[in-house]
Amino acid sequence: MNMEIPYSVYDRPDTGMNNARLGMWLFLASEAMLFGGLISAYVFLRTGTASDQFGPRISEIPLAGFNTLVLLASSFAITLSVWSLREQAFRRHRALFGASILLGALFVVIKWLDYSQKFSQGLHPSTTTFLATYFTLTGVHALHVLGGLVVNAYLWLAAPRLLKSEPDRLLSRVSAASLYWNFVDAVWIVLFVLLYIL
Amino acid sequence: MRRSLFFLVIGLSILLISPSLSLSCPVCFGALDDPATAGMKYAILTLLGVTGTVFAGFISFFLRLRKHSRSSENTGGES
Repeated sequence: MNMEIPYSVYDRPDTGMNNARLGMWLFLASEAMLFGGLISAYVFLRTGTASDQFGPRISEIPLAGFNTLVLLASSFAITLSVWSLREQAFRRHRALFGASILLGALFVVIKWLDYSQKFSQGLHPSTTTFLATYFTLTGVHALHVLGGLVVNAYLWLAAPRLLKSEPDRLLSRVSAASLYWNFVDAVWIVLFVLLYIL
Repeated sequence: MRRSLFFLVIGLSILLISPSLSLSCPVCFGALDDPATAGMKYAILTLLGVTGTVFAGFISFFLRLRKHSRSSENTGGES
């Protein structure tokens, strides 16, 4: 029996949004709690332990700053791609969505280089408390970026087929993916401020 | 069911009567100047901030639903 999930594409009149978007918001609420718990643990360890026990803050602001700009650009590109799709400018949408994916991949590559550099210098999560929290927070975030990249790449590949068969469904999916991507970007900005600036 | 409830009440009563078991640990109780207490305060405030923001999101969503529902009633169910 083939059963259609109601309001998965078109907006519900009572909530003013479709269920895909509503589901994504609920998912993001749970994600906010996950990162909230981890950040709270970081704040506890940072303010509750003596600086010599916590360990020096080994973080390179120029590299992380560049990475922040890369992720911000990626987020900007995916938002523009959703607007392009709404305006039925499919080619522009595909180019911007592709650019967003590439920038996201660049973010992961830079993070990988940062990790490799630290490991080669003998800096591991077990070295200091700061590094333990640093690798946990940035690692969990990087996994979220990777997950988002997989979904975005799937949507990018499936877009031409979906555009022919179900264009409204494509818009709904890309819109939900964009919401997730912007959330991941916002979390990174919080982590950047906490780990590198404060 | 009643039997397990009885044992639960008895167990909780013993815990409450025994002061050494029910007292807070020194981190939160009696060590106000300890850095760990200060750290705990900031951590709790951070988590409360995150939880409050998520709750505010839920409340604003329910308010939005109520607004939609009222406007739907005013237009006679048309949307």
